[in-house]
Amino acid sequence: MAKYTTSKPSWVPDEPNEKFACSVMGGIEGIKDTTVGNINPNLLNGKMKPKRRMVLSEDDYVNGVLKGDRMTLSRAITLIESNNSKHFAKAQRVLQRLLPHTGKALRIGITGVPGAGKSTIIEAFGNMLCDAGHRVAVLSVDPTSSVTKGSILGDKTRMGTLSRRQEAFIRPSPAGGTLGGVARKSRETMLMCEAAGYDVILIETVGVGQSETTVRSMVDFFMLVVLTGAGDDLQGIKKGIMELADAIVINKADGDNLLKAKVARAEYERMIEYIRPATEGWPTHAYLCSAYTRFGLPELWKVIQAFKAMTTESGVFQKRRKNQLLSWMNSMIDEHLHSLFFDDPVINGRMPEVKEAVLEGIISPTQAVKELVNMFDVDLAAKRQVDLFHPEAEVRQ
Amino acid sequence: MEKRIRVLVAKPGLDGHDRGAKVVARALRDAGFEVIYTGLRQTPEQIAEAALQEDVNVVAMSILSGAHPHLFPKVVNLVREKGMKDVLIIGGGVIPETDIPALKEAGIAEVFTPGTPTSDIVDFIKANV
Repeated sequence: MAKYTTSKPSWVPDEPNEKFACSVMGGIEGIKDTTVGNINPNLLNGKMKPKRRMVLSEDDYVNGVLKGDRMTLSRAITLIESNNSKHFAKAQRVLQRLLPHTGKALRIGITGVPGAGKSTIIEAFGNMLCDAGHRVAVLSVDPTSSVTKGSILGDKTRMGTLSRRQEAFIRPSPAGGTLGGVARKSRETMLMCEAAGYDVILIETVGVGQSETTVRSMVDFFMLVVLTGAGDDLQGIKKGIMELADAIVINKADGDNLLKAKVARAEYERMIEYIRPATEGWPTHAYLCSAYTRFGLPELWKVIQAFKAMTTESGVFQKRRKNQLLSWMNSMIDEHLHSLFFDDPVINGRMPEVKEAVLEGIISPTQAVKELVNMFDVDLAAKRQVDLFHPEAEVRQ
Repeated sequence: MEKRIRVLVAKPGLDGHDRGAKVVARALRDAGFEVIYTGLRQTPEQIAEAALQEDVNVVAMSILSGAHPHLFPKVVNLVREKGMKDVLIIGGGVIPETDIPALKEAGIAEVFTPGTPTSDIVDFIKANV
């Protein structure tokens, strides 16, 4: 049997009794030996061999992505997301070759509290852009989905129309794992999509923690989606998010809610007065829209285009992208040193003892850090990890 | 390093009963898979497109309404047409035993009917991906 556990739903009593009508059926396990039933006989006698997953070469990836082939792109993203160090080396080489073809897309980040309507806005906005002849890639940064080892991604349910358009590519990715974590994977996925010819990248993230800072550091234009009732909501929304936003979009401005939305807009405008704009020379404003009626969405696109024109002219656009490259490098260094340290066998060997000592109050955490860092041999650790970045490492997917 | 298995759980057709699909989705997640759930009432085109964009290893479909002889093979064809020759496609739901051979003929690797322990599905996927 496989090593996993399942928990009973909350409505199932611990002890089955007469009042509880559900019962577990014997299932197909009982009839495995007979010829009837639904187990494929070829599987039982070993005739049906599992299909090996297609292995694409580095050239396949590069050529496929450049041609805009959606299956290759999607496989390339899987390669990037892989935590296997051999895949990592291969992904880096593919990316290196695609790098000259990236950077032409407009990168837009969208954040907001759960339920604000981010996905619905993306659905409506994305469809509008596709109609206008753009090619849209939708990605998401969601650091909370690594709580369990597996994950359930439900974005597809909310982007029904957009998800089947040929001009759009939607890939909500689970986060987690090592080798650079979510920030690296999202950035590189974004670059892959750009190389495949997508000229608008929408990156969605839930604005409740660290992730919006990550997204801000990889996009050109960042918008915050909010709902009406600003006075109360502001208690919950950190001012920090408003400081990051180039536009505040009040969603659900339709029907009876329109008046309230207008009030909220005025309140947000007053709030913004006191906040330093996220982008030099671009005054942040609040805008009304309704993803449901599509009210305000064409105007929003005009705002984004005006933003691009203005910042390109002033040079802020290019400057930000350059800074983003540097901050990307810095965060990669952080990640890399972090994994060097925590994967180090010497440190790992000593760690339980030190932890114990800290918990017992024998040494202070600061002292413990000092001791561990003194023990850490960077050269040795780096040698162990050299295959990670080494181009000649054996590569197979 | 353990292999990462991505599964698309899909509900083709018009019936609105996805409890089974959700139970399966949850069981697969608990088994450590990455599960993408499409939501109700998907067309075969939507399912094939989602499978492509998400680069899944497995497409698992559930049907109650009886439209499986029509919809399952259609999804298989669309998925294969898009070049995903190596994707495992399985089905489940209220499916009469007599229909199963034809579905397997059409390219559904396995059909899981009511009463199947979820562990069987997990084991099947692990053995065939």
